[in-house]
Amino acid sequence: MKRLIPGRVGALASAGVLLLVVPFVGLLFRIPWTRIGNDVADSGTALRLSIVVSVLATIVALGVGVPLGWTLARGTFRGKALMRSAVLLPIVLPPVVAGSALLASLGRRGFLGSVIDDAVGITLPFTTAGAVIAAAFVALPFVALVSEAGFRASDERLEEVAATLGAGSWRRFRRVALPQAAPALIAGAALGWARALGEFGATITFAGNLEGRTQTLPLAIFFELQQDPEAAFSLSLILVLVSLAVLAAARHSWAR
Amino acid sequence: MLTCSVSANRNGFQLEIDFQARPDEVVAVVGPNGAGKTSLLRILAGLDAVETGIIRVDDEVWEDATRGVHVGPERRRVGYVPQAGLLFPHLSAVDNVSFGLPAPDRARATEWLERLGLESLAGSFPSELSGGQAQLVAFARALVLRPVLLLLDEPLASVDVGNRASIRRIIRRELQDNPGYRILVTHDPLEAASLADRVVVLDGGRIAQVGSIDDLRTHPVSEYVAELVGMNFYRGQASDNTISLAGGATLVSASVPDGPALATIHPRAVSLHIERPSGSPRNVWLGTIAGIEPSLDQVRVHVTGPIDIVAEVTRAGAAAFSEGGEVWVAVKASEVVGYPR
Repeated sequence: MKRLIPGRVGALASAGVLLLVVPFVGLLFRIPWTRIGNDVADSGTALRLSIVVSVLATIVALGVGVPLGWTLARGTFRGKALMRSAVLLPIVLPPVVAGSALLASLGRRGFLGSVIDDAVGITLPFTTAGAVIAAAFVALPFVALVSEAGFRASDERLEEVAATLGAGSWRRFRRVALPQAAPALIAGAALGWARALGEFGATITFAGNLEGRTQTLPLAIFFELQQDPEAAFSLSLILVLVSLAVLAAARHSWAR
Repeated sequence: MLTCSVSANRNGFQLEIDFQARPDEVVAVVGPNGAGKTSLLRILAGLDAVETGIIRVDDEVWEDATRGVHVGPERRRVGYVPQAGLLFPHLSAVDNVSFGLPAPDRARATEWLERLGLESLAGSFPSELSGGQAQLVAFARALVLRPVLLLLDEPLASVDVGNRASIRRIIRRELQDNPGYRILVTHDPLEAASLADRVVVLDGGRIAQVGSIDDLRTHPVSEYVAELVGMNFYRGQASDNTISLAGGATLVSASVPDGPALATIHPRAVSLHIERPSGSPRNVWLGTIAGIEPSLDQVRVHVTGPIDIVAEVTRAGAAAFSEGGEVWVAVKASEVVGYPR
């Protein structure tokens, strides 16, 4: 049945869509189409770095976020509510605060950073590894929460049956829980990756803006805006297209 | 010998179970929904914890609450076939069957599928299988591991009626051919009768009675068991082969020891008459028809009166009766099976 949309609801919904779409239309007007190729070529380093950093951050976030999601979905233990709050925190936290916290703990003078520095001589701030950690920090909640929902929706009894068939807990996780939740895990990875790709505040605070090492595309766009706004708009278009591609790829795995 | 003597609490439901099983018999646990049948299987499989008690299989202790022993399900070597099979949806039938094998062994899994008549479905995914096929694949998945204890939860509940007889035959054959402890759970006494040697009747989390299906039919110890096996059941005081019931009525039996007694009457041994029957029956009374319940070729007629009773008559025979009408009930003394309480 075709459902009639009430007029006022439709009008407000349209206003919402306009709010979301108009900025992109504006962006299209300002893009210097004749030199867009050059702009993109000039920012190759930042684009490559963005992809490397966001992919590594997604891998890190998946590696710990999926087990975290399973623990939240299946675990029964004290402090679970606290654990979930910790997972939610990076979503509600301003990224610049996240960056400051990372700097305070993992920076050269942070309580953990100084230990790492003394032990292996590695300092994370202002390195690509630091940018990866900042991006993973903000991507992790998305991966963990979406995979939690996936594990919650899959049938726990299948894991129990696997146990009676002699499968230990790791094998049950790997061979039953993971495949069951696969669509959610893909969606979580896509969301996490998109978040890592767009990461700005935590990265610039914790990893700085070093070209070729920590200057990812969003940072490059921000600094380009002050010198050559047209170039910034060209780079923005690339990020819009990449994000749309991720949306399209992940769509059928979590959108109905 | 398998010994299971446990008490457990699951969401406020208290389970108190104490029974033994031998390796040469198939045991059916029968009871209504909510009697604790599935809980019992889960406890035996090691999926749920017990509060107190022990589970011992041969010389292995699986559960001993006082000593803190709990062997996990993955180390019990049970073959648990849950209701509806619960196959892994992302694996084909053959991969489901080989899931528990220590090394991927499709040949052995295929052997078992063949044995259950499923070889053509080896590559099919669970979503492509019927309820009965899924049930058998789940059965094969458990049997391929040669379990010490086989646990079937309502093996025919998800099978559509048309396939039930053939699936039941296969399950019956495999239960007979695979020695070891075999316990199945069902709400259906007929299924228990066809698949099991001995029946444990569960009611409200406790064992109501244990015995062969014949024992249960002829000598039920409670109203509940009698109802389950479809028998008329009476309590009274016997003296000189006459049982005085609580309401004052009496039943004459061919033979019953004096003292507190129980008695059963098979519904098919009850005859109903419009006119007062003449001749030999020792138990005759006038009752009122409270209900008429047709089934395939029989009709169950509920009659109230000095003694409430259910009679099973043919459809043709039932045509003469109508609800609310009066009817003469006759039962021969030899059909009143009396036994001490």
